[in-house]
Amino acid sequence: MMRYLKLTNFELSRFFKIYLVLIGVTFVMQLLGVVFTSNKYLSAIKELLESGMTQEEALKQWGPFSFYNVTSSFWFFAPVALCAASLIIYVLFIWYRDWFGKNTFAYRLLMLPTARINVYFAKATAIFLMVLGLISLQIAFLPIESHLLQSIVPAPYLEEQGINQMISSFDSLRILYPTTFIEYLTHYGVGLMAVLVVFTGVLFERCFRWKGILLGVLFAGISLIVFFLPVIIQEFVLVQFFYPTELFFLMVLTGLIVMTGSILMSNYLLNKKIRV
Amino acid sequence: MLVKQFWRLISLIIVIVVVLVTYFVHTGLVVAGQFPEFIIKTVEGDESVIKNVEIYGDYYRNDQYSSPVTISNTGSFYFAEQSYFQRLESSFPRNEVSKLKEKYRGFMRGKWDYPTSYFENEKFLAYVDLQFSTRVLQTNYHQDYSLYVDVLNKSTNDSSEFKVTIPGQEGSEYFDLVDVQMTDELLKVIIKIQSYVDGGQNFAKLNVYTIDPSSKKLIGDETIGSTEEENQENVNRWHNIELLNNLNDMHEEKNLLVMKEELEESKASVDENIAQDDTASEIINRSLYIFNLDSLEMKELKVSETLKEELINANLYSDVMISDNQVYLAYLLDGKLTVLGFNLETYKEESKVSFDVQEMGVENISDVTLKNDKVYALGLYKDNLTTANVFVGDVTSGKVLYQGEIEAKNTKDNEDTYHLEMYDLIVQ
Amino acid sequence: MIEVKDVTKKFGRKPVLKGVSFTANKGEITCLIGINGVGKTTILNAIMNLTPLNSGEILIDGERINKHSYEKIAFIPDAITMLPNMKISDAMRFMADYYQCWNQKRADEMIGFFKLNPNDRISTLSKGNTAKVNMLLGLAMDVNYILMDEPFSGIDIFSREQIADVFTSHLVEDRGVIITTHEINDIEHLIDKAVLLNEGVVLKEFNAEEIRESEGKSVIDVMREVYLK
Repeated sequence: MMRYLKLTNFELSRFFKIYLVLIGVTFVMQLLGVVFTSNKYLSAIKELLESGMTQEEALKQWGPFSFYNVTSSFWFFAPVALCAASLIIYVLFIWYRDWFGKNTFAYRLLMLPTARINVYFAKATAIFLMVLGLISLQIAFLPIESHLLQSIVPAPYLEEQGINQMISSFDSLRILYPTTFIEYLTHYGVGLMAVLVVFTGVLFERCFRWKGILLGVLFAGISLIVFFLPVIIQEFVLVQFFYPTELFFLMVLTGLIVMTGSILMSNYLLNKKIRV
Repeated sequence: MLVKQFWRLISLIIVIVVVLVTYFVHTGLVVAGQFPEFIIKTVEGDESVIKNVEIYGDYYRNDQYSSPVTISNTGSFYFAEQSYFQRLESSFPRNEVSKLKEKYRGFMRGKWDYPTSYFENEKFLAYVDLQFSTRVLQTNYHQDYSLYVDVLNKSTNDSSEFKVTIPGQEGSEYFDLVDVQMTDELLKVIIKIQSYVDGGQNFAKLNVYTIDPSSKKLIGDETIGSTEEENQENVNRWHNIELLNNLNDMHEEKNLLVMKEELEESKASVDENIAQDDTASEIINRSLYIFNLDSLEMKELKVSETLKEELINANLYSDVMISDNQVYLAYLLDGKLTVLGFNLETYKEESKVSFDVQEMGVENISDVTLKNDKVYALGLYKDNLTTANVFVGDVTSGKVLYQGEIEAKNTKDNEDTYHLEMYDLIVQ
Repeated sequence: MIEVKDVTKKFGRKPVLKGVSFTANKGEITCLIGINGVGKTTILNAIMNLTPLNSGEILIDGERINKHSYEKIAFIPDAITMLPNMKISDAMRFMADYYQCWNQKRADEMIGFFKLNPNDRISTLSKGNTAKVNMLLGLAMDVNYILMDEPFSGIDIFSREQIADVFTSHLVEDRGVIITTHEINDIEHLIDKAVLLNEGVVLKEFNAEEIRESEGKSVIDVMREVYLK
């Protein structure tokens, strides 16, 4: 357990500088986004006022400014996309850097006096915590950014939004911010499952190289089928047989099966098939 | 020492836990505070009259968010307040089928949520689903319609499911399952069929198919009424045929109230040269019939000329009530809500009561419900300036039993701009 | 005792080890010698369970390798395996963190012996110093067995001398050492046992001292006989 925690902490520290840079870039770019989008809006309003319009008329023409104008801008979305892309790439890179780095650190990790699956768990935990961390920090940034917005845009032009309204205007990112705890668990549970399956795929490649890519893809395909088996049955075999709650729990079950399968397979590969 | 070594892990976990806990608590509070409480407040009359009444509508706030809601005399319940699993499991608001799903979980598997498809009495629970498969005949698509039947014997808990094809489908375009009934252990499935004749007009007919669940065979095919002949007479006029029974009611009802309407393309639309597809129509005749499922006979209700005129001009509500050998029909005309009663043996008008609902403030009626010898009327719209009223009257005595309005509790009237749209008044 | 029993290993279809067997005892330096080809490194990797075998078995003190074995056997690969951005002190802390058998006192002693600066980053070290750190990380573990893969390859002559000194010191005393090399000169006088490999087969396994005494041959003489036959 202690070694697992140490390894997790170690994996975190290996990416921590880049991680902090990602957080910083997100924060700074979003603050800049608040400044730029609100200034653009205010100068448009100012132009209308100078042309002789009243405040009401100007408001009617442009509508009030809300945080939605910020969240729908490039400045807000780009760093979020950057963070997402970085972490997705790092899901692969967290393994390959141990083999293809300047020094082959894989030797060190595989010769630790602890079950090798702990390395797998530590890497998965590190990825997962970093994702949750970014999600959390983004929530924490929102009130700060909203505060800045309030100090720039005068009250009559500003439509105030609560955090939940800001989040619900994310649209495509809505899935990252569920409103109920159970949805949160299922969304991120599925995310964790995907990470574990991809890890197993990487290990297949590391064990069998070219042939391993094929096996990895096959494994991922089987995992996908197993996970969606209840839905497949519901659609094609026992049409509409399951009640939604039953379907939910069946998918929790198949999800757990896929996760267990990934862990067992990875454990086997790490102990019996891995090579440096 | 440990803290120093694990500071990254520890701080990351602290950030995640603190932010997420705050977020969920905050969200919970926001959701709880987002939706004001509404009740049906009694203005006049006995509150016990609306004890089993539930109003269904949508709540909108500032064009920012909305949620379906049910309102009763004790309070309101929003769709958004449901737990995750409640949201998954049942329709909102819960209907008769939701209750059946709890009671007969095995039998109800894979069955749709439409009350129309069900029939229930003490011995049986029957389900009929209209199914179709599409095949391509040369260049035309052709739908093959069939009926999937499943009947549960409540005492033995056995169910028998089977499929029968609907005979005589040629030339028919569109099938619609209207009602399922059962008499003498025979299923009567009522289907509305719309057809299109080449170069001619649409016409509709109501058919009743008799199915014997014990032999799993279709043993009867009767046409209740058809508009085929009438519709070929005049291009600018056409007929429609409709069933006015409460189709969501799953219980036994041998008498069907059938309405035939004659419509004419209104002159106004021709004159004003509006878009061709957008032709307006005008009702020029309405006649009512009773079809008895036992005798398979149809008789016209005897309606006086003055009443006929009223019926043509009135806003007629479907979902009639049948009680004590009488069929009750409600309509709105000139701000008055009228309930007619016809005797099912003599086919004559037996009672007529009117309520001046406009005077009582019930305007823009969204729904009228007849149940338990009472007529219920519901207003359409409420915001912080407009009120939506609820009205209940006795259809036999003509007495006003209850007047009430939907009231918002704890809203900051000046700050909040919201509105409610009402759809349904459900009497349990 | 490390027992390598009838080990075969293929890379794809190409056999690299064709039924290799030998033993290495505690307190002895066993040298795996091969003129060319792979195989030697593969044997060490196989002992450490860093590569799967096609058949055969390897036992360490009678046990198959497991997670506890890594507290009893240290592997010093031909290149350092610590991350380049680590300081020497970080690398040592990493070892101390995970291995109970890590002996910090001995590590400090070797820092002095090799004249290394613990604050230097691994990426900035010379080849010779990198090899010394690599050596240090393995030798500072209180283990029964040490495997070394080509410890002298590509290193300047003075570093070689320093590393060679290690073999006569208390640092390897009482331990079982398996060392691979393709040039025997630097350590010929040190080795107790030689295993001559060629094309995945053990050609000869012999005790260096015995053969010196009984037949008056050096290891190189035997190699000449075996490989040039």
